[in-house]
Amino acid sequence: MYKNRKAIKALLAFYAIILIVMICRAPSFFTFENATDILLNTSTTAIAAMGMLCVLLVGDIDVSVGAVLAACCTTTGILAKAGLPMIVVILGSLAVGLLLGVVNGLVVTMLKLDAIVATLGLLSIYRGLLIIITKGSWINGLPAGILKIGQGKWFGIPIPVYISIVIVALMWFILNRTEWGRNFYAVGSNKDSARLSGINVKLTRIIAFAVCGIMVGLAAVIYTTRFGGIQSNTGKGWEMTLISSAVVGGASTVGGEGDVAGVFLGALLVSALGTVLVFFGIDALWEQAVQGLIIFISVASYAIDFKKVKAKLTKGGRKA
Amino acid sequence: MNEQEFVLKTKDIYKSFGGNHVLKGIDFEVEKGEVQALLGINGAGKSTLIKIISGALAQDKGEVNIGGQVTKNLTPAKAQALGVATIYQETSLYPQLSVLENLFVGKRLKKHGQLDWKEMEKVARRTFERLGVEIEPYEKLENVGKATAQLVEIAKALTIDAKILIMDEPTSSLSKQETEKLFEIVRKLKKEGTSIIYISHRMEEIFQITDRVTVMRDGIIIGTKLTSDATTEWVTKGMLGKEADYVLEKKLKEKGEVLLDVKNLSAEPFFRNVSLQVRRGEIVVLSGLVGAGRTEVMRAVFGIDGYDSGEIIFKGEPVKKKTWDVIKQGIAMVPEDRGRQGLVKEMSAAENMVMSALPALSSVGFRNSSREKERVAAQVEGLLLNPPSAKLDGGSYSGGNQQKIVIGKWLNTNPDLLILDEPTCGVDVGAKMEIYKLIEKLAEDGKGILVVSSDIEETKMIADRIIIMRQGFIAGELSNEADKEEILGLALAGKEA
Amino acid sequence: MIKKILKSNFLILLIVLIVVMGVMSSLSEYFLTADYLLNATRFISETSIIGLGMTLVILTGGIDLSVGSMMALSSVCLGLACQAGIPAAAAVMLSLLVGVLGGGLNGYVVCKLKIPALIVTLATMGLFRGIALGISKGSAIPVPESVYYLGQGNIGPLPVQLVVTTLAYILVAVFIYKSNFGTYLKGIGYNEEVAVFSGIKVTWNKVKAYMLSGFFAALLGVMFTCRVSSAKADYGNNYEMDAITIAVFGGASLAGGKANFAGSYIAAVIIVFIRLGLTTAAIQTEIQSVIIGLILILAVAFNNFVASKKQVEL
Repeated sequence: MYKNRKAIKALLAFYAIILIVMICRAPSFFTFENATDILLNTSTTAIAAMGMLCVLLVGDIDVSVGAVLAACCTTTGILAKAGLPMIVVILGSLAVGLLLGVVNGLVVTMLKLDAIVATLGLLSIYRGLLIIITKGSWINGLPAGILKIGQGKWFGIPIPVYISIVIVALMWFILNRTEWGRNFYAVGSNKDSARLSGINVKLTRIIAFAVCGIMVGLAAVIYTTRFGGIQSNTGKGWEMTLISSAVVGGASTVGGEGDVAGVFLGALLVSALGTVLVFFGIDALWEQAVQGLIIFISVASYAIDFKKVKAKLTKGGRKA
Repeated sequence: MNEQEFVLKTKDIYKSFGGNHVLKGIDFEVEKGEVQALLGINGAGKSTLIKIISGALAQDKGEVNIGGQVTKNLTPAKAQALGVATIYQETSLYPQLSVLENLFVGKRLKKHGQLDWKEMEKVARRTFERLGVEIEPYEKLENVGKATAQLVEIAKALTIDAKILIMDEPTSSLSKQETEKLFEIVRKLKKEGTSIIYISHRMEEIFQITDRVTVMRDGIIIGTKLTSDATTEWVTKGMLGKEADYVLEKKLKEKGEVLLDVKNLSAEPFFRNVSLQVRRGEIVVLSGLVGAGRTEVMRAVFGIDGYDSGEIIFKGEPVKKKTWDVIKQGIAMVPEDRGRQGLVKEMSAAENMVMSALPALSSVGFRNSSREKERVAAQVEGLLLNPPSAKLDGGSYSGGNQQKIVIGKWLNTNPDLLILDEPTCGVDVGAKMEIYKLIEKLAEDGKGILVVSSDIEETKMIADRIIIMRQGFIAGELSNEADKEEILGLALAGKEA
Repeated sequence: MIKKILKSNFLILLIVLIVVMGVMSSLSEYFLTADYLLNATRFISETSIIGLGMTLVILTGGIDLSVGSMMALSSVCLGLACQAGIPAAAAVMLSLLVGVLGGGLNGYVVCKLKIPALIVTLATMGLFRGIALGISKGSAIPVPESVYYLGQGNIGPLPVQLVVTTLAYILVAVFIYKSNFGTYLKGIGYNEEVAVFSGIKVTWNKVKAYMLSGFFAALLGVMFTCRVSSAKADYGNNYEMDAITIAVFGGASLAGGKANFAGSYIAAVIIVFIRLGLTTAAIQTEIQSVIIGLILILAVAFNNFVASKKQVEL
């Protein structure tokens, strides 16, 4: 249950800095609307980043998430347009996510491929197949009932925010309080001894991919219903958003490290930056550069051992 | 002896890997509450046998009977359920996880279907108390150090209430005090009825702690004796199959000028005020216990780590800070961990042997294959590399021959001073002698040799002069006529002066 | 060197190439004509040069996700420099220098802060593209005709790209197989700690590999910009994926230590041929992406299979 406090501390410090600067420079930022808007933007990223966290925890990576998102969005759209009940639509999207996640897991574990290579290949396979199947058409005009998921509000707060909070809590429970969840950590930390401890390493990795698929499936439902339609290039480059969220939140890309709280804060930072920058008066054109810079600084700051740096400064330097 | 008394019994176990017969009919028995030593040189089949007993490998033929139960398709989980706990040599811990979690992976405690961390913490604290150690359960494992990690391994075995505890070289990274502590724990467990299979190469430990000794060679069991009836000669004979050729002919060498002069070197918290000299034609052994700071001194000399204060003079000039400059000055080091620091296992022996000498062997940055071939061929011959070809991947040679490749790599840089850190660790007896002879010959050729060794036999055999380190400082210096008790005495000696 | 090529999966790649060419020429009669192929080499060269840098970085056990963004950044730098009236040659040099510096930043952070290359270059991927977007204000910048030659000209009968890329491949391959630098990269890729203990300048050699990767990405940026006559910040999207595909398909191992430049070159040719051939035959681009994905997975799975067989034999 060791927690990577460092990332969380660093992120909280980041938030504190942002808040202070915002209070001084753009007090108009602090509106209820803005807050819910940011949380709404965060919801899909946070949900899917939880899935990415699982895959990173077992020491793998999934770069096919963008294509899986597109597939699930399409499923949601088609099922919704067919007039099926909401629950069927949601389950359909989750099922497609689960299926693709399991395929990812099977290809990685059974063919013994590097996860990045395998999911990279699968990414282009999924995208290609998806467009062949849908003939590349956009999906619009979903029935109003289903749009409530993405656009509805309870007590003034968008429904996706509630969903993301439930998912984060659920993932916290799974990763900290269940055998499965802890097995993710064990497998990512030391595969050989996990096997010797009687953990089914392959199955655990497949489950991690499957969880990732399901999370993306859920995010897809929100995504589709929020925007009311989807394009064929939905989710392009999304893998980078998710990996950034997880990594900024302190997850390690070599496995065994990362937690729900950190990744949630990471997702929040990555999704909120756009809005924040606008209020900073930074030209939207520079948004991506600033975003990249902040991600760069945050991961660099986790790697620097500040105690050592401090010791170096106070001691006058150890000759190396 | 009565049948029920056996907690473990294997019958006619066979195992081969791709035509290589590793186990050839093993009948091995362990009684309740005994400590049984399992001995054999590398490749005798000990590890394979252990892995079969603990379910990590499946045997080709034969049966394993644990506590009266013969289980087909034994898996690690099944073996654990039957009470077999194994502490492997390469630690099987999870560096990124907490100490607490490490204890319970694969057997976590649950309440109402969810993990019960509070209860686990209680059990952990109780286990640590039982072991008489103080470890913070929530500390991240990679921060606790090697010795503590070893204790965590033992605690891990205790939490499953092991009936058979297998310890594979448990003391290899422990200090003397920690080893004593471990022995106390072993005795305690034995009293409680736990059987222990104890694998070690340290003869004195075997005689100190075990009840019976089993010797293996070439995949068969040579014999089992009560430890009180066994002698060192019987054991070594059984392991080697012939009387050990344990004499190294040492010539009287002419000592030359001072090559290496380390003055008051300190790097807190590892070592302080270390001064030592090595002359040409002299073999100096830096003796002491594991963790005394010897490796750290060597790393500082070789430019791997920095140091706080002091001077390192080599051939009258200060030693540079960067490893590549140090090598140019004429110092070479065979590091402690062959697999991780000495040899690239995936590259051929030939490439390994030229890797550090490339600046000298190449012309304007490009490799010169004829010059390389010449050098490599000379090393293969001089080092008696077996098989006598440098074309295979480094990792496919035996431990001893891998070490020869590493030595060859450094001889190719033509050093004046050769540092060897635990050069015969994990090397079988035959190759050990060849390495000793080689070291002796290099010294005769006028090179300075500085060996870090924890093996007192070895120290006695090869040293011209022995310097003993203890807890980070130089505890004393002895000539090669000193007896073993004297060396050990200095290495151990009570409290810090 | 010949032996090394034969030992690798080079033969398999050649067979795949021949099969692909056979299939393509049966799909389209234009495919095997000299004009078509010569024109195709422009695309082939562009794709393969980005794989060259990636192969180098993968050889050290790293990865460079920032290549596509770097291509865009160098493109924009070229455009802006030309617009500012800097002479064409100097502008090209400046763009290439940006690539070297960006690569150097990647390498330095990877080595000094010991952060996985995947993360570092993921961050710089956003950073480089963001800078490109910011300084170009997101708009296309036309480049003067004086630089068109670099993307549209010929050296003798051959397109400039083909000559530049092939030369780059040959030079790099010779360096890697024959020089100390190559041996060091290999050693570092297989086992970095051994390299440290062997007195190899690990940081410097790795930084050089990343610099070369940045350089080749920038070179592509220049050639691409000159071919399409304008600079833009959204060039090279997802090129990092192409680059990884080429390197791995060509025989490199993401674990480090293994790379095959001839293999990477052929892999790039195969990928471009599939794309072009299917396009000519009027087959949906999506089928191409399915086929390329499948090839990548099968090729790597096959490599692993062969490698595991070899291990058993030992």
